[in-house]
Amino acid sequence: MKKLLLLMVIPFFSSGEITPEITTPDNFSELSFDQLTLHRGNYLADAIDCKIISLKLFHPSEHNKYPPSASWLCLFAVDVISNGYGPGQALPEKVYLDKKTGLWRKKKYILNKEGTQRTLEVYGIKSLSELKPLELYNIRSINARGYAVINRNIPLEEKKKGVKKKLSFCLIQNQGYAAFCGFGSIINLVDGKEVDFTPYMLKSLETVEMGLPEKPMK
Amino acid sequence: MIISPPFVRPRNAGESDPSWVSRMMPVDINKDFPLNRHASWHGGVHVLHTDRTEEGYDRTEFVRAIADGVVVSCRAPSSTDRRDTFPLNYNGRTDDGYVLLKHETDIGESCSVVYYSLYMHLRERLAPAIRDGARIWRKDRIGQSGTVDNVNAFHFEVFCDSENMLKLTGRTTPELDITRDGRTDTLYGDIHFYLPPGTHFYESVSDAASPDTDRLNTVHTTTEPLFVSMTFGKGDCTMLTRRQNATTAAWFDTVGEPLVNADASPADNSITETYLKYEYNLYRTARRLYPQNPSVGFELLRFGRVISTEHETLTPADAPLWRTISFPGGTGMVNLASPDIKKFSDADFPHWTGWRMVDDDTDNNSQCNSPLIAGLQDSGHFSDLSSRLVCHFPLEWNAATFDQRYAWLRTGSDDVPAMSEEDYKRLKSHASALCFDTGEHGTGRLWHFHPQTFITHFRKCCWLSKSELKQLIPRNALRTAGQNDYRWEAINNYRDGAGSVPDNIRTHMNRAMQKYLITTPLRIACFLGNGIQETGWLGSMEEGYRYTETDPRTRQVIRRYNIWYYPWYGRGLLQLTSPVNYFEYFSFRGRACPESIKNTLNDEYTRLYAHRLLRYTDNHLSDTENHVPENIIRWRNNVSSDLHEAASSAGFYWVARDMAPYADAEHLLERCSVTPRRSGIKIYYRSPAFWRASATVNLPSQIDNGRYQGLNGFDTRCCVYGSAIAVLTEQKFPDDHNNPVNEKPESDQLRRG
Repeated sequence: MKKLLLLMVIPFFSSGEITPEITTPDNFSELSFDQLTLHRGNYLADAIDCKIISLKLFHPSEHNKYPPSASWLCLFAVDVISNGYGPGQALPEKVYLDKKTGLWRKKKYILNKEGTQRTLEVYGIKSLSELKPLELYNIRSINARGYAVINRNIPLEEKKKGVKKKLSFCLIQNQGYAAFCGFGSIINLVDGKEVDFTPYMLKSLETVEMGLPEKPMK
Repeated sequence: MIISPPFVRPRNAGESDPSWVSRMMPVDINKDFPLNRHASWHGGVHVLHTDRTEEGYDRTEFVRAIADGVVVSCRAPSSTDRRDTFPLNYNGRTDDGYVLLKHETDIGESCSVVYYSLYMHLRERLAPAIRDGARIWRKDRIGQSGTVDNVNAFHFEVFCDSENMLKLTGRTTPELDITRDGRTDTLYGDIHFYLPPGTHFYESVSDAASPDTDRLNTVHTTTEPLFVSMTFGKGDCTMLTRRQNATTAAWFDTVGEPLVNADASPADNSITETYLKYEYNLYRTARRLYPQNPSVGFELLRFGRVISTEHETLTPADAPLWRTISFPGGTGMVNLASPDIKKFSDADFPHWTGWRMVDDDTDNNSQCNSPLIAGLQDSGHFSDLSSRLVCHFPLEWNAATFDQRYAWLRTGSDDVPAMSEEDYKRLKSHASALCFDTGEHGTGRLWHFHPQTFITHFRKCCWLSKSELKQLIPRNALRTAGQNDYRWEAINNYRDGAGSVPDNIRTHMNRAMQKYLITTPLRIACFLGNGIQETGWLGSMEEGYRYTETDPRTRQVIRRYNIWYYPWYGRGLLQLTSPVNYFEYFSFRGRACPESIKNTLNDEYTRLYAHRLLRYTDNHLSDTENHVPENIIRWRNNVSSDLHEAASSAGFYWVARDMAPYADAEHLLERCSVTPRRSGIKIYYRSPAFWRASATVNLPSQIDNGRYQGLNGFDTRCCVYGSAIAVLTEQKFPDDHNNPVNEKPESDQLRRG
């Protein structure tokens, strides 16, 4: 109980961490956010019961509504660790959990001839050198840890729909079996102007709290 | 029933289904239905055709069968010389080739129907497969559109007898009986509500789960009948109110603007893609408003009433359905579940949407003497309503009844001057040259539909007949035996005879698809693409749970044991697996389970899932260890042994896991080529939309990972999906240059014959 009380008095941001550090935009404010509370039924898919998840969705202070762009998933942590990020994305890079350090890391691998051909077709490019490297962040939130990946390689079909940059993340609950994941386009049109929500979303992930007690849906 | 227009050109981007059907069948306004320009009965329409390729027409475009059927009779087109001379050339050059098809299908439970389609004035030559008695499949080529009276067109007619008229439309009277609810044997398309005079509209309802009106503020009480139509589509729900026109009784005016998603609640979800989309959230709304039995609440939201009364009981019995409805001058909340409000669907052919059965011209001649039609003409609304009139008059293709039908021309009528004997003989010669042996349909009257409206209407009825379902089972299944090791295996064990699982589950499956709005071809392709594979071609509603371990070197079986999550293994059409999913389904069906047992089993399953090494050595999922009550064991077993449960649980999975939004996306078919062992190159098809719909149930962690290969049997699922796309849709398959040109999947996958 003492430990719990101690946690409660620690200032909010002290419980979160993004590695490597990011530079927040000048107009970033800890006060500009929407409180999001996710319960069973709010997830695009739920393989396991995550109970209640809460997070603050930060947005630029001049825009009073965060454009909701992410799809949320509640998954088994063991699957998230096993899958990592990358396989199936037709990229010569993947992200995996280094179990010794507990940190997520990037690893390059060589695509075979068929894989290379598929990559060129998926992304509509002529050479693998046109691919941009993945950006990886290790995230520590209030009671979960995991990764966030920024991917600027957009499959042709999504490119046609205007997608320019995607963010995928997975946070595994500390001492739990559940993982909170999400993905979505991270550059949104706000009032006719493109806004890159990457720093806002990364800061939002620091505020994730998982496994809160269930409340009735009503 | 699966039906399509006689031309199947590509759709335009964003084109609605009715618009596409209409574009496929441009009608000659001088040869319209049900009257031609002389105000005589005309049993069909003339579908215009042009060779202008810039308008999307192929230079040689074939007329196609609108549905599976049998050739009743046909006539090869005469030579162009004969076409150009009398008697075929009467008002202009006229081709005489024709094909008459008989279609037998199902539109509901114990509701088999027979109707006919006639394609007249075809030119040059009929398709080689067309001969008397031949079995024809939807979209098959029939022949080429010819010339009639010098116009590039063919006559297209759809008709049925009186017995089938009752099955198809439920009545032969002009208007629908609104004193009782509509039919439940077949039910599709929009849901309609009749609000009698005296219906109260309330300003707002604070508790949408309570029928109590004591403290509600009435904003309107109706003094006239109102009719409300509820349309579900692409995640939205639209409510449209109509009332009878003050001067023309057959005409109904709309009241206010259509209300789209007016009752969607932010309480139901915050997922970007489905936020405030009423239809996509029906499952969550049902759980919120009808917690005692969400499944029956879902029926209330979907149909406005409970349809499966033998399986579901509304709890409480007076549970309300509060919806925002337009009234003249405003909107208000109405409890549509009230028994005073009668419920119907498009299957009832509601007269407030224009449908009227015309059976008041009984003289058997070709002159239209219908008082109902005369009344519509007088009111000026005939052209608005003509395509929704279903008219009872003689077939025009029997030479023996020509005099009975046309003798009136000799004396003339108010509109038509008397015809000379010579002219009458010339007309008779011309008509007789086009007539054919009409067999049993030659005498008496038949019910005629406007073909375009008939097709548009019945495309909403997605009930699959035995023959249609069978075609979804591919002839071969692709199986991945190892990395880059594929097998192409013939499916020889599909049996759908009386008493078989496929035969018995078909009605339950159709009912479940109806309830859970799996009612578009692409939704059905996603649903059954998975369900048919998971059940081994509808062979078993239960996962084979004996596992064997083999020595990797000798391949000898060294150990046999049950699957680790036994007894919570897969059951049902979309196999429900794990205690978590079973308990969620039981709760949806209003079946109470002790929280302690549920939590213990869920926790144990989660623990074992996370610790692979403990799954067999430290497993505590058994019924005896957890004191699982007999009723829970029975409910669980029923998911496979009771075919209603097998289908119902799959429908639950569909809505609970949000498969519909993925199924509704554009299906961009990818042609996949593999070389299975001891086979040549084989082709199957996948699409990102099918991947996502499949992954959301089976592999949620990979929804956004379209290239992932780990979904159990996905290649096999794709084989069913390919057949479903061919049988249910008009989409073409890409060739090896990725051009969408193939009408059928490659590798001879369609199960026909």
